[in-house]
Amino acid sequence: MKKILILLAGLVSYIAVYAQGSINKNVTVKELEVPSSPAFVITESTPSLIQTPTTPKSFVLGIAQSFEPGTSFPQNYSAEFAPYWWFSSSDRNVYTLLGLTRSTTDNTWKENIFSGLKFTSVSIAFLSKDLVPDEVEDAQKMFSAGIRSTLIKVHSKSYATRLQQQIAQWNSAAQNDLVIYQERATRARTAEERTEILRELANHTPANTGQFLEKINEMFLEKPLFIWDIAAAHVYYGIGDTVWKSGRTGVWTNIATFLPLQKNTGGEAVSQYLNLNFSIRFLSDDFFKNDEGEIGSESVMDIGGKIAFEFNKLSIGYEYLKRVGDKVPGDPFRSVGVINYRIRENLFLNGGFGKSFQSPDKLVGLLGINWGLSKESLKIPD
Amino acid sequence: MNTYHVGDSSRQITIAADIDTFGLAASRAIVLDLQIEESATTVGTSVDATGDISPRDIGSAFLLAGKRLSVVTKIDLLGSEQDRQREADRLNGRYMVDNGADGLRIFIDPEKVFSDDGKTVILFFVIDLIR
Repeated sequence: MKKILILLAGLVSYIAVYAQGSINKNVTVKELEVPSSPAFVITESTPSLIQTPTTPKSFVLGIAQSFEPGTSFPQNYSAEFAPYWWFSSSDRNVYTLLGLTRSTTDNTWKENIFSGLKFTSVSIAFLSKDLVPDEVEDAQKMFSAGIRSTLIKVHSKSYATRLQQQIAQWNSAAQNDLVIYQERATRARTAEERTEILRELANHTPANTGQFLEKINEMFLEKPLFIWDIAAAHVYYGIGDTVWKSGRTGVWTNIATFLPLQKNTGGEAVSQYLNLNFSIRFLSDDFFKNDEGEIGSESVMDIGGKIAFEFNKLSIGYEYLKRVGDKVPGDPFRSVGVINYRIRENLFLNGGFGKSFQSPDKLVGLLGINWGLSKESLKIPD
Repeated sequence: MNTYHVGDSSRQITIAADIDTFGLAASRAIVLDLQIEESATTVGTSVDATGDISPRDIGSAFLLAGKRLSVVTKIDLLGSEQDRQREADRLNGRYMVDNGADGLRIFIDPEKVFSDDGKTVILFFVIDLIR
């Protein structure tokens, strides 16, 4: 089993690292992000178990740390990527990324509510945590793999129209930029001269083009009115140094809505929301402690939701999940306050504090941050 | 420098550009005579932000012989800094020239130039049309 795990991990890691292309094999620590991948969520190592990413990402590395005695530098890492991002496709363009499609009947642009399916992501994680509810307090090594997809994503009715208007204006402005430089570049006598002219064009950012681009970027980040995600993951537990055993399997779905807290005037992007989530997940664990104190296989279901207010960089929320199952001891639930603060682009502080399911009075104290303040780099082996 | 034998017939030479990117892309194709100033003729533009130029006739082979064809694409990238970096490295263009003496030829290696802030990429494809 260990060989299979190593082979699988190696294969996924290779694809993930290969997928980053040849730009830079040193992944900077700045790229690390608080992990929300299914491979992490199933181990309950994330501040929030109910998470709804709304924009597709090419590749994300994550770390997480918990406020537990004896832990120092984070030992929990994950990687998540969407294969579609990396393979050539004849229909790849900005409209597929933004989820817009042209109607064949009246030639207008509409939102493709199934556009998220293309960006189905796979994730892996390596963790160190005491997930086995035995008498031994030592953390186990864990390896998990997961998959996540957005089935339906719907923005406001005006979203596609507003977005397309900005794109059309950008296109018109960009065409004007080309006129200025193309003939000179074509007449260039040397490759160096041509490259220099093209570099001038690349750096030529008149106010109008930049303005449209900024608005399009803001709308790209605009949250949907309705989003439906599904995810699944499986964890292997390392027992001792050599034995790996199949542990937990989970399948879950989240339905969320982001209600704007500001009026949309003049085509501006919305950035403040009331976020409501409903979540249901099925877990099957081979190392579950039943009401008689015995460890064995058991299946449970978690049902609950989350409410959060999102104000630009700050998000504050509360999450509640109730665990039900035939042999579940007590009345387990998870009640956690969640806070997320975006310090700057790709630098997030993310925390969750409260009560978790297992063990009476067990507290959750989790904090994640990407370490963008450092210029150090994390070497990925060749 | 890429070259394409157009021949000396009166057949219409056809071109197309297929830009593979998640960024906002705008393309323009021109033909010009290097010996004459101010001779550039626009023979195609992308009509939306895909940057693609659909197949189109750009002139008779005997009229195009000796001229230079170029296609330039401006691409503004979306998303986070990391997404932009990876997309800038991955994006590419395919250019088709057809109906000349060389028949259908596909070119896939445009020159790629980046802006200093990494938010914009220029693709440039140039080809001399010879008899």
